[in-house]
Amino acid sequence: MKRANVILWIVLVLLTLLTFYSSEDIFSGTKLVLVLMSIVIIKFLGIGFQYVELKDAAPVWKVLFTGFILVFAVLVLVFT
Amino acid sequence: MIENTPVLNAEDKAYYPPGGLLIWIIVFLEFITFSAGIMVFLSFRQGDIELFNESQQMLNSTFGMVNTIVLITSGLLMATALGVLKSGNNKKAVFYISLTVLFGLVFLILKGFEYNEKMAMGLGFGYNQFFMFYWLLTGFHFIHVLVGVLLLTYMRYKTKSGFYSGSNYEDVETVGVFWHMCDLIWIFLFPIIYLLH
Repeated sequence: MKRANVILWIVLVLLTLLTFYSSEDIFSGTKLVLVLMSIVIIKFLGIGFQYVELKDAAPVWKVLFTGFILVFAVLVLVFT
Repeated sequence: MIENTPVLNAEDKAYYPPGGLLIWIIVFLEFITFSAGIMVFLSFRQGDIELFNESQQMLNSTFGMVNTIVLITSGLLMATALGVLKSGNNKKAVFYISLTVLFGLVFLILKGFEYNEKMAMGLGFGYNQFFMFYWLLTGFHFIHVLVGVLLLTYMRYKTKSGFYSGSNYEDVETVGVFWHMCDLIWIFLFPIIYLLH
């Protein structure tokens, strides 16, 4: 296994636990939405760039992929 | 005179995303479809936040968290499977694809338990608006994971038979992108359905 992939896996698991516990006790309302969406963006880009290997793709694919999740996060903030 | 089939040169190929153009059209269409579903869910939620928050309390978010870790792990295994296949090690690739399938099955089984629990509590599709969206969005995702498991099982069989190798791995890469798509959709679906309150 590639070391970078394993490190990303550890980060993703930790972020998942953070997502879970931050919604249990720590945050609520708009702050919770901001925390959840920030973690979603990090996880989404981590998987896309490292596991799907978009880091080696043409810039247009990186822009489309990143653009999608940013627009999604903004829309979630607007709709909540 | 026989015409030559156009072949992409390295420069053209550099503009193609991993797995090919077609799978990425599908991926973006899926992203847009799920996003639209989520936005409709959120706008209905605005109409009756109390009902949505009360209904969400009936979900077992621990199931959702464990399933997130299961899918993340399967993503790591899929990336590793493709890496070893590209290096020409079919035996290891079969091993990692098998593990990916196994984690996919774990996801489906856990989801099955969760669905069974909800049905036993009478929280079906028509129970209220929240559960209508819960079944629609997670059910649609469940079908994608099921399709992914079936495709991966076929890739495992063909890799084991030697059809796919270090010089012929594009189909496995395409199925890999589909599998990661299931993971990516769950990454944004889980917090919104299970955790947002």
